[in-house]
Amino acid sequence: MTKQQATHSVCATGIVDADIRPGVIMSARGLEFWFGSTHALRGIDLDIRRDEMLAVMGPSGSGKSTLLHVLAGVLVPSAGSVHFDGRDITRLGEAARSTLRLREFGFVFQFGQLLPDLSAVDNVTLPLLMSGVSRKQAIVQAREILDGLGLGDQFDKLPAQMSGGQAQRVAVARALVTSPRILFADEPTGALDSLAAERTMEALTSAAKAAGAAVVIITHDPRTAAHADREVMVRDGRISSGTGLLVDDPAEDLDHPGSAL
Amino acid sequence: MSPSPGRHHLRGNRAALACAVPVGCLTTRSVGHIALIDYTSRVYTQCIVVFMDTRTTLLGLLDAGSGYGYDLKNSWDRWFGDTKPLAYGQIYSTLARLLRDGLIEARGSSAGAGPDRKQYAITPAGHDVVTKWIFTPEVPADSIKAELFAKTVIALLLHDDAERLLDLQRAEHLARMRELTRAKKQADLAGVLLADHSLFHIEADLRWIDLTASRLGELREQVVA
Repeated sequence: MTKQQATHSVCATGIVDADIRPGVIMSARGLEFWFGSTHALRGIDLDIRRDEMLAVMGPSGSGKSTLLHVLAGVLVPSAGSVHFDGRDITRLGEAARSTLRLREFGFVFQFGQLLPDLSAVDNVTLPLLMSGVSRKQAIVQAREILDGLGLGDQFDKLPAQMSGGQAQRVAVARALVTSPRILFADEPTGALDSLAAERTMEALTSAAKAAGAAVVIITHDPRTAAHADREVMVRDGRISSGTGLLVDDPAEDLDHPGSAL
Repeated sequence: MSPSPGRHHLRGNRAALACAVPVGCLTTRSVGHIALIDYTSRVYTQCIVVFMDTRTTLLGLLDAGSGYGYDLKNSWDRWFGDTKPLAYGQIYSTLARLLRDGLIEARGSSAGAGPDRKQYAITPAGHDVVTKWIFTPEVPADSIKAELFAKTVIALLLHDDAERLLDLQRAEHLARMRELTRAKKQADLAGVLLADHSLFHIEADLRWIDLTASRLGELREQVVA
């Protein structure tokens, strides 16, 4: 299929998805978002490949966190679309988007995300229990993924009893235990020292790859971004540089500022 | 673990010297005024290079406006005198080479006039060289600050897209960091430590790039004043 040809598919909702390229799991087009009088997103086009890690970088206030929240269905954009798995998720109601986030997406934040009164295992079982998995099975899966992340000795520890790096890896385990299609991480290493950040990123990268999840990671830290397959820079609500859109021919390089269709 | 081969490591004499010359063959005399320090090539070969492309920077100053050698010296001293002092003799010898290569032309001088009596102006070929230099990213190395600074100043003097040059350089730096991060996965501990050293230096450059990008407005006002 050439760059000029469009792929059309009609999904269950009857929405025709134009121009979804093979290998692309999510496509955002023309995203705009207003916070009151603040124009946070000013026309963003972005493709995410199903097996890649994409770093979204930019200065504070550039709109990168807003972009993540729109892509993840937490916020509905003022304009534009986000196509995921044959659907424009911006047209879904809150309940449907909430189910989507639970079943298809995983989330890792900078801090404050583990429930403080629950052990590592219990924290990781939460999304499984909310998805209807039995507690017995949820515990088995939680222990397995924690063990895979080198946290076999932390099962019963509370978040306050772990180091920052360990807690973040528990957060990674929780985000991936439901086998999400996309993991969204917002500054996951922001509160960690260099070594803990390195270990967290190694764990996140290998666990996501093993789970077959794409990763979108917001970071201002270039050493964290260096773990990604590519990066885009967001400035003043726009993609100012980097390869935002993917083409059919991998040899074709769109790496110039303000990538456009 | 050595730097991955490719276009970057063959770009320009400086890069070739930095990465291709065998360990032990680097002497101050063999590379002229460039001072090199080489690391053990078993795990990683890199050099600390104090280098600035004098020739192209001078050409860039001429691109911003024609002038006599005296004017160029003043401009050079204003922006780059602290980084790399140049004597009049070095400026005139560089101008002679630029003239020979057709990148500048001499105007309004009488036959037999000395170099100090000639007014120099850039040619279209010279302008192309400057433009290509500005928008070709540097090979990420431990210290390229002088070159990046020169390009930023020249871009501002020429009313070129300085943001774009910084974006291009940032992308190059991030690509290099990705290479090093991937290479660390197969390296022994010594290799990891050396790669981390490079990563931190490249990160320092990136912080400078980001800060400079945010200060371009102020710098632009100073440069064109």
